[in-house]
Amino acid sequence: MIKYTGILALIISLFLGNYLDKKISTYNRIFTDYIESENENANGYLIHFRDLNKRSIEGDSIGNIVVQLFDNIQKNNKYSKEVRNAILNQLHQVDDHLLILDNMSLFNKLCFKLLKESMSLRDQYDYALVIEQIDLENSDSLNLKITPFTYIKDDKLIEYFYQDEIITKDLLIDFKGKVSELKAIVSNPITKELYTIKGQ
Amino acid sequence: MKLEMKFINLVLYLIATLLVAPKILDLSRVSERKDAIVKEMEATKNSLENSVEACKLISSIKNMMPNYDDVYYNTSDSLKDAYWRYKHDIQVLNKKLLVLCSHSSMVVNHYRVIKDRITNHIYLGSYKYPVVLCDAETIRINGKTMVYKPGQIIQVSKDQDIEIEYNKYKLNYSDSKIDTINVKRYIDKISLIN
Repeated sequence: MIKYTGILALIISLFLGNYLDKKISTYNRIFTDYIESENENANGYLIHFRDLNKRSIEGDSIGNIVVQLFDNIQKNNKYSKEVRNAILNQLHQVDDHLLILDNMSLFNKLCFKLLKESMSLRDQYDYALVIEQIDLENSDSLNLKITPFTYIKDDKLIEYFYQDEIITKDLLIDFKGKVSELKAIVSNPITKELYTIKGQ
Repeated sequence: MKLEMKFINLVLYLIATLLVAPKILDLSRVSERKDAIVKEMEATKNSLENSVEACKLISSIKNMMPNYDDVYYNTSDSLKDAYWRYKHDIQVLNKKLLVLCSHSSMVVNHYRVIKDRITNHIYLGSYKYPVVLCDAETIRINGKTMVYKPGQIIQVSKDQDIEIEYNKYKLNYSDSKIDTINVKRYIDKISLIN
C-alpha cells in the first residue's frame, strides 16, 4: 500500500487542483462581472450626463466642459480613473438637480459621496423666504405669495446686465414688472471662474 | 527496490505539491478580492435600502406612495453566492429608487431675479420645486403646517404678526438619511401694512 501513496497523492492533487480551478474561475467571473457592471454604469451615466448637459445648460460653461470631456473620452475610447476624477471635479460645480440620474449605484459610490461630503448645497447657495406679492384681500386679510428661493449668497460677485447694458441693483429695485433677457455674471463658488447666467 | 520506490513517491509528492500549491495561493488571492467586492456590495445594498426607506418617508409627507408595478423582481434566495444575491438585490433597489427619484421634467436651472416686497432686497437664484417623490416641502404659518405648492397664495390676517417656517426634505445620498433645510422668517404686522 505504501508503494502507491505517491500516485494517490498525485490523483488527489489532480482532483483538488480541478476543484481549486473551478473555485478560482468562479471568483474571477465575479471580479470580471463587477468590473463590467462598473463600466456599463459609468458609460450609461456618462451618456446620460452628456445629454443632460447638452440639452439643459446650453451656453453654460460647466455644461460645455462636460460635453467636451465626454467627447474626449469617446475619442480616446478610454474610461480611466483619471477621467472619472475629472468628471467628479466637474460634478462638484453642478447644481444638485443634476444629481437625479438613473445610475444610482455609480452615483452612490463615486459622486454623491464626494459631492455631499465635501460641499453641501448650502455652501453655494442660501435659502430665503421671499414675499413676492402682497395683495389686499379685504379689510381684515392679505394675500401673500411666499416663495422659498435659493439664491447666490455672495452678491458682490454678481453684475447685472440688461440688453448688454450694466444695470445697478438700485435700478432693479425700482423696476416694476418683468424683464426678459436679464444677464448676470457670477463667480463660480468653487473655481472662482466667472460665468454667465441668463434669466428673467 | 524500496529505495527506488521511496524516491518515485517523493517525486510524485513534489509534483502533487507543485500542482496544488500555486492554486491555493491563487485562490487565497482571488478569494480576498472577492470578499472585498462582496463587502462593498453589502454596504451598497444596505445604503440603498436605507435610501429607499428614507424616500418613502419623504413621499409620505406629501401623502404620495411609490408605485413599484413596473419593477419586476424574483426573490434572490435561490442564488447561492452572496455576490449574485447582492447584485440582484441592488438592481431591484436601484429600480425602486429610480421610481422615487426620477422625473420627466427638464433639468434646467431657471434663474430669476426677484424682489422681496417687504425688504426690497434683490435675489438672484432659482426656485427648485420638488419634481420627484423623494423631495418634499412644507410650510408652517403661525403654527399651521401645510404641504407647499408652487405659486400658492396664502391668506393671512392683517392684525397679527406672521411667523413662517419652511422645511425642505430631501435624500442625502452620501449617508442615505433625510436632509432637512429649515428657513424661518418673522414679519411684524406693521411692515405688512406698509
